[in-house]
Amino acid sequence: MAGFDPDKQSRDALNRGAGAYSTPGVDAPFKLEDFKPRTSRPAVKFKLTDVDPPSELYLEQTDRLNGSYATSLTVPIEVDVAGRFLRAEDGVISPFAYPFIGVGGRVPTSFFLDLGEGYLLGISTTPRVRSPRGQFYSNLGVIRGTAAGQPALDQLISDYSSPFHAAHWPGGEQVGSVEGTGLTRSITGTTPAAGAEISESVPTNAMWALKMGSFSLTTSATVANRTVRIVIDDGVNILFEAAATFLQVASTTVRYSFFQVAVYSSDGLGFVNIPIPQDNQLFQAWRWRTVTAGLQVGDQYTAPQYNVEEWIAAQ
Amino acid sequence: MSKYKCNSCGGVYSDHTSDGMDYYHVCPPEKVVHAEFDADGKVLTAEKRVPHENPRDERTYGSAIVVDQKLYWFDPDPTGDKPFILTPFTPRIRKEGAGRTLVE
Repeated sequence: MAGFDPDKQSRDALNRGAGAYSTPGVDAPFKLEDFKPRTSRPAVKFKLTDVDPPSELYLEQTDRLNGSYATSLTVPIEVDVAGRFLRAEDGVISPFAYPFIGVGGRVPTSFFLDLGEGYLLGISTTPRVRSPRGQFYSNLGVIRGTAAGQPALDQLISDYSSPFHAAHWPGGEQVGSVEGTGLTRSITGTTPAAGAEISESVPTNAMWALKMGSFSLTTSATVANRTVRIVIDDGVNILFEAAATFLQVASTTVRYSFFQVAVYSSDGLGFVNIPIPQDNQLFQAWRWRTVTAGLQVGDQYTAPQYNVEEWIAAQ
Repeated sequence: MSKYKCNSCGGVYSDHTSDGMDYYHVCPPEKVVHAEFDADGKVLTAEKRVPHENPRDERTYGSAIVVDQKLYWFDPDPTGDKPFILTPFTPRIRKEGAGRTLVE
């Protein structure tokens, strides 16, 4: 290093205290100086007092949280509504978790939460039981007033949820109940009485995409040709009706299958395929059923087994 | 799983489907009045369909509300005097029909 003189440093080290040659007799007191960091400081400074809350949602005393949920889960179920609330009165972050009892059957069920005045930092709705996507849908918003049915002033949650995926705010998705992938179901229907037709109805507040299904028809000894037709109706009007290209005679058992990409076919060994519309959507109270020309008193259908994709369509 | 026979249509079903979820039986919309034949197999009266006179419909309906951790049905007041009517929640179905019988 240029100008560095180790001898001078040694002389300076000796030139202090009572024995110093420049200030003899004076013993300078030891002085501890403040630490001076030599690294660069952060460009951003944060407040340590009077800090603004990290939430955009300030609730007044008159604001209420109004939620609702609908589920196809079997009862009883419990729903946890949980979150964190920064109280205005004392600035304390208060966690909360309210369990609500639930109704099955896709019955929309409302609830209210009064948190007081302060900032809502986050909130979630979670069913306590296992529920694949498509089975538990909830929404939650801010209202004013005391009656259900008030318009949401601020919509926070609209999504399906499960114990592994809580519908939440902030950061959650706003998803309509009939959007995205639904719940895949395998349903065993009603075994009709002898001589009666199959008829399966979409439950209340549900929407189905009918994918495929199968049933058998065992015919009595009464001599007649039976022709099986698959019908989809809206509860009143027939929207679709397709007949098997096969005549089933007396004293036989034939398995009929229907699916979206089927072609009319029969293998001659007791298996018949019938196509149904692709990308079909059946709303509540719509039906799929059989209408069988030539059906006899002793003819017997089995219970249909069918596959649907289901969404909650609460209104 | 218990099975029931619908006294309206004679169908046999369970309250739960094979995927473990609830099942709501609804009778077929029409009954088949079967054709009648003579000894030679000739049709005497043709087959026809008639509406089901007393169908059973187990589908739920309505909206519920939680008040003080209790469930109530939440229905509009038909008289219009109140904004809504609360009644304690019990399962309800659209149409009882002729009822049902436990078969197994």
